[in-house]
Amino acid sequence: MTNLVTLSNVTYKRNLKIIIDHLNLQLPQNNIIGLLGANGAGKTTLMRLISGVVPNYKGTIRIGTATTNTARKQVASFSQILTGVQPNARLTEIANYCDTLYSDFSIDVFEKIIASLDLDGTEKLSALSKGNRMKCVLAVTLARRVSLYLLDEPFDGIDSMTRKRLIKSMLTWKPDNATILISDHHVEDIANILDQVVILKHQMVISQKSAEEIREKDGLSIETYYENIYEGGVDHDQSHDNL
Amino acid sequence: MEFNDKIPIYYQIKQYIYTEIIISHLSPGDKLPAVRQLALDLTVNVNTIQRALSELIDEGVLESKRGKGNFVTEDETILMKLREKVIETQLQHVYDRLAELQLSPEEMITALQNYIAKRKDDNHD
Amino acid sequence: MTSLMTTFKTFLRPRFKTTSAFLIATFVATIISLIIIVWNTHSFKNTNISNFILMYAAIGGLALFIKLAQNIEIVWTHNYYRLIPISETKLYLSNFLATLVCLIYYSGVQVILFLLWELILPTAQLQISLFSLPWLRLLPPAIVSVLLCLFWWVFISLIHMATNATAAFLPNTRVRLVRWLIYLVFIIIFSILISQFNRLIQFFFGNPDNASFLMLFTGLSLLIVIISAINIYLLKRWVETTA
Repeated sequence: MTNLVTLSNVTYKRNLKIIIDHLNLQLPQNNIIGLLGANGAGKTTLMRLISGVVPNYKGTIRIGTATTNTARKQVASFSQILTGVQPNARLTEIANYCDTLYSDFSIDVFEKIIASLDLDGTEKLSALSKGNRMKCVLAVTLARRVSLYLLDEPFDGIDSMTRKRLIKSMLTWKPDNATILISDHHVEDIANILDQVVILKHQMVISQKSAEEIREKDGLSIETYYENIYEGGVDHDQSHDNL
Repeated sequence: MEFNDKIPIYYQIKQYIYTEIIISHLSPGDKLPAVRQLALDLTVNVNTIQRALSELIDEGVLESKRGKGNFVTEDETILMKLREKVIETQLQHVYDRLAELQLSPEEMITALQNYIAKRKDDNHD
Repeated sequence: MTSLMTTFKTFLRPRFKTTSAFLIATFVATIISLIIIVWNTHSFKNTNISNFILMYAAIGGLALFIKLAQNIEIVWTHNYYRLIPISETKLYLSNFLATLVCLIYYSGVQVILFLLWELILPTAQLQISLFSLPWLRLLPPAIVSVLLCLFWWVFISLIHMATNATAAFLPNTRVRLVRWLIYLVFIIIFSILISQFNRLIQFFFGNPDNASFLMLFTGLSLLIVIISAINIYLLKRWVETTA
């Protein structure tokens, strides 16, 4: 398997606190990878770092051949793209904006996704319910046809019916060979679609394993595996130092 | 389809396709849905479907025709063996459990016969 | 990569609409004021109309200045803009270029309107001063005004970026306090600058000769370029988007 993403020795500090500590990680091509970890473990920061919006980190981050922040913005689609949109913007306006600015954006895909999720393009973003907002976020993110998708809590706070539909959209529109890195509070929601899980703790990656291997070799559900890892085992007894 | 979250998904998909073939939802020579479609129907990863299908192809249960898709084999012996194998796997579970309870083979047969008779009665009621 | 031209056009479109709305608002205000005056006094004094045009143009201009400043600032710290695959220098330039075009559009229309009115119904005093002046002599004050606006905008960006960049290095508890301290320092610099500027500008507008124009022009241009260079550096290396 070819690696798409490589992070070597990445360290990131903010407000005198270490948020990512000498992190190393490789993500293969054509995989759906679950990024797991407690609140504050650094999941969102890790995605921000990969996406190219964080300027002052140490180490190297590479997506394919792209190493600079600007170059990575070109090849990765990040679900937190809608922060800073004028609240009265209509969905079609947002899509047109992205279509103009991102050469890889497909209006056609965007329209198909929102139609399949019963969203009305003429609606204003600010008027959407939380669930509909999440649908819109996913549609915008997936409408970019790129090699890496960074989905930060894309199913946060939505009902299970909508979640299923969003997962199906994701499976439908993931380009062949693209990789999706997806974080979720509730592991069991996405366990079935994962190739791999990456577990973040203490500002580092403490486990990266194939989902099927966890079931086959450890005989555990992803959720149990995650809980076991988090509550003991790999812990190096530094867990309370930072509290 | 509901998956057991402690058993590899690809394995459960294989079992699912076995069952579909045995109960003739899929007949010899039938074409399977496209990989992406199967992934959507079962809400799983395309790679997982691909792994299940490639194992089924290796076992001869499916035949892959380049550019056309995957088809259920028309080889009767393979299908017969498949049926036997699936039945055997189930029986194996029962046998192992009963053996744990220290039943002799004769007692197992009697127990099974009684159980079948009872289920028949239940169904008639 | 997205080009400077594309980004410029994308930034320009909504701001142009806003500017047009401000123009329309000032026209409507002028007309309403006019109607009220005619209704109350049953007379039709031309001077009033010219004065109203100027007054509303100034009020609208100030409001537009603030609105456009907001439009500029939101770009630096929000993913909707910072995720665009374009270098920081080009992002910076397209942001200011779009604003500059709006400023010229607004002032241009107001000036033309004012002159048109003077042409239709010349007011006694202004007729002489306006049309006896060669057009070229109107240009320097116009250029100085535009440069002044631009200067304040880049200065506001400097404050914003410097605070954002510094905040990342402070402990969370101190961020707010230090932020205010930074604002305070900038406000002091700001007041010193204003008083120095005022002298120069008053001198210039009271005595608009070539020498003072050239001095002001070079001074302002230089300041804008220097501050912009610092801004681009901050943007590239230190300014993060809000999570």
